[in-house]
Amino acid sequence: MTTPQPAADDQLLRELGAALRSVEPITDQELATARGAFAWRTVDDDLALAALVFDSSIEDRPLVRGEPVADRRTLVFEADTVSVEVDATPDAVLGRVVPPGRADISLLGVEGPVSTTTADDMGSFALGTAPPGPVRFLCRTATTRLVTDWVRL
Amino acid sequence: MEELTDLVRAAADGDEAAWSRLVTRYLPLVKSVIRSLGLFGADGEDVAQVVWLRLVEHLKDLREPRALAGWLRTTTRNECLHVLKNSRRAVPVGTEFEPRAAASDSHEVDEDLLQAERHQALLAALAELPEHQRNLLVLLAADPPLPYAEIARRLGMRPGSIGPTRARALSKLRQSPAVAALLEKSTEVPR
Repeated sequence: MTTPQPAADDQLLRELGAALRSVEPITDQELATARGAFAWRTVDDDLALAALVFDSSIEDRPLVRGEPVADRRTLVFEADTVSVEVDATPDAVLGRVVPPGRADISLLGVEGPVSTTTADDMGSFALGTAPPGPVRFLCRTATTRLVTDWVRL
Repeated sequence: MEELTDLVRAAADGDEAAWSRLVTRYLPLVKSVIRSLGLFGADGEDVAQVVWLRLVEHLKDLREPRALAGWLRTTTRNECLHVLKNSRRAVPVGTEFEPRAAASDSHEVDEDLLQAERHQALLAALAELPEHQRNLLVLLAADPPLPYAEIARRLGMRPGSIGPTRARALSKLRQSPAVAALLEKSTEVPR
């Protein structure tokens, strides 16, 4: 049951108005970008999602490999059985698939595939510079196919 | 919440109209997080794009629709931190950019953060309301205020039902856990 509280209601509504105005204007472009994201929805049920679980630009942890290095961003994506670790520098994107093994790797942008390579027996791979804008990795190993979360490198 | 649960589930199952409605509800929250961290313009839009792209794939993991606001706040914040770290690296040592801190003393920054937090709690709670209640509150919160007759016309409501719907919607807003927590500790918003 609602208890009438006119003064408190007016105050709450004023704060709500201030909150809404603090983000105005919401542009058509912003709405279109947000709505448009749906077009990249994965419809392939056999394609696993590898979620971003570590990003060295957000948190530091005793690193996967040695000391954190300036200009190198380390990202870790995890799916159920396979993870992909990526080191992005201004010149290259280096990565490895864990557990180690051969894999086909593609770097995808919102405009489509950017580059493709093959990971060696140790799971290591190298790609050229990532383009500006959102990218994700598509990875096919002997046992699974996965796509990572979108990131900007 | 039933309506929101249905929207999240429908969008996860490929319903694009449901996705559009979700985005319309939550865009203000995402933008508030971006602005509160000092990002505007193209930087902010880039962050938002990654957040929406990522959400599309995570919809099916959200078992509880109220988790959506928290997921969006965390993901948006993390993407902003990444952008801010990069921009810091690009400026000479000694002139490091601190978001919102440059011209303000720490007290003002605290106030700004508190206000941003309050705004985000309200925007999250608003996003979780049933659509007719949400639409009504948005119009009622307009400045300058719209006459009830105009609001009734736009929403196809009877003017007499605006008052009761308004009271129910605000009561529901107040019951949202995030807003309730703020009201607990706030002196500015009367209970």
